Amino acid sequence: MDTTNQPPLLERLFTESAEDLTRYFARRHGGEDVVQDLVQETFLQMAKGMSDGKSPKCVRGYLFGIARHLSQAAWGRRNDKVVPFDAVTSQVPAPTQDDRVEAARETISMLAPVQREILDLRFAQGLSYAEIAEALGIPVGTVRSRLHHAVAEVRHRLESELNSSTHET
Amino acid sequence: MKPESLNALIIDRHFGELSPEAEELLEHHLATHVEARAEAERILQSLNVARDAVLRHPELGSVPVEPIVVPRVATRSAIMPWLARAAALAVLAGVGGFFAGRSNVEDTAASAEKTPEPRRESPWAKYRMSFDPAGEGVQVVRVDTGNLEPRSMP
Repeated sequence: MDTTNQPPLLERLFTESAEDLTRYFARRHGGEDVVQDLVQETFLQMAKGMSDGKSPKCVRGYLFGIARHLSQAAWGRRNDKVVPFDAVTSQVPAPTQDDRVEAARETISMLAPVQREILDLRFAQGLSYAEIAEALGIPVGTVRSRLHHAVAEVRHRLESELNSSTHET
Repeated sequence: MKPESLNALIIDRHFGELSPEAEELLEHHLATHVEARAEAERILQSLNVARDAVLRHPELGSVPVEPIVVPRVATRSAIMPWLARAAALAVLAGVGGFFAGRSNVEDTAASAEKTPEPRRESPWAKYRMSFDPAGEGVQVVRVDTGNLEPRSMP
């Protein structure tokens, strides 16, 4: 196996994606120490995967796939030093009262978990369709259609809200 | 153009996932159809509201660990209690039968010499079934019906 390209690739990945991964974990786990541990663990597993000969089609998506597994494992561990999610939201500035955003939140919360993950990876992490597909282990077409469906659902809800408020007035 | 198609194209273009050719066709369509342009604007507004909701509410993307559902299969540990119970019942039945059989072993020996009479109540009384020792399965042997009393069918 040719390993000459591995250090530069990992360095480049770290430079390009460490901040994104930090943001990804921070949105889920809060606490700074925990987040840094998870970021380092992600790159460690990435390096192990590469030394095992894995050559993912979409490296960044693969990296986020590892991050996703680590995040879920951290959530699954009991007595882990993961900051409860409420603590994370408390660090976020209080949102302005917006009925449309609240309606969209309600609609999105009722979508399938994988669909919500797709929205999060697209909007919050800026991953491409191919990267999301690699991270979640699903076809690109599924990412595309689920995203379209989610936006259509939000739009349907917003229009229903608008129609009902119009009728009330 | 179908509304679903326009919805998909507008979203893909917004995310930079549309091929240059498709984008060019979409631009032409929007330029020539006022209604489609207005529809595209509404789609983009919904998209922006959805983005705001996701960004403001990280919990939406935090999917809990889904428990792995393992299909129930008959494992050895699951089978063993039933096997143990069945074996215990068989042993009990055998022991009980042994002691019960000892009390009338003479009667049994005497009766063993007699040829069992086929049952006469059934039309199947003319036949006797036995296992073929050659391993061919069940043997059905017609017994001598000369000694059977004739009876009329109801």
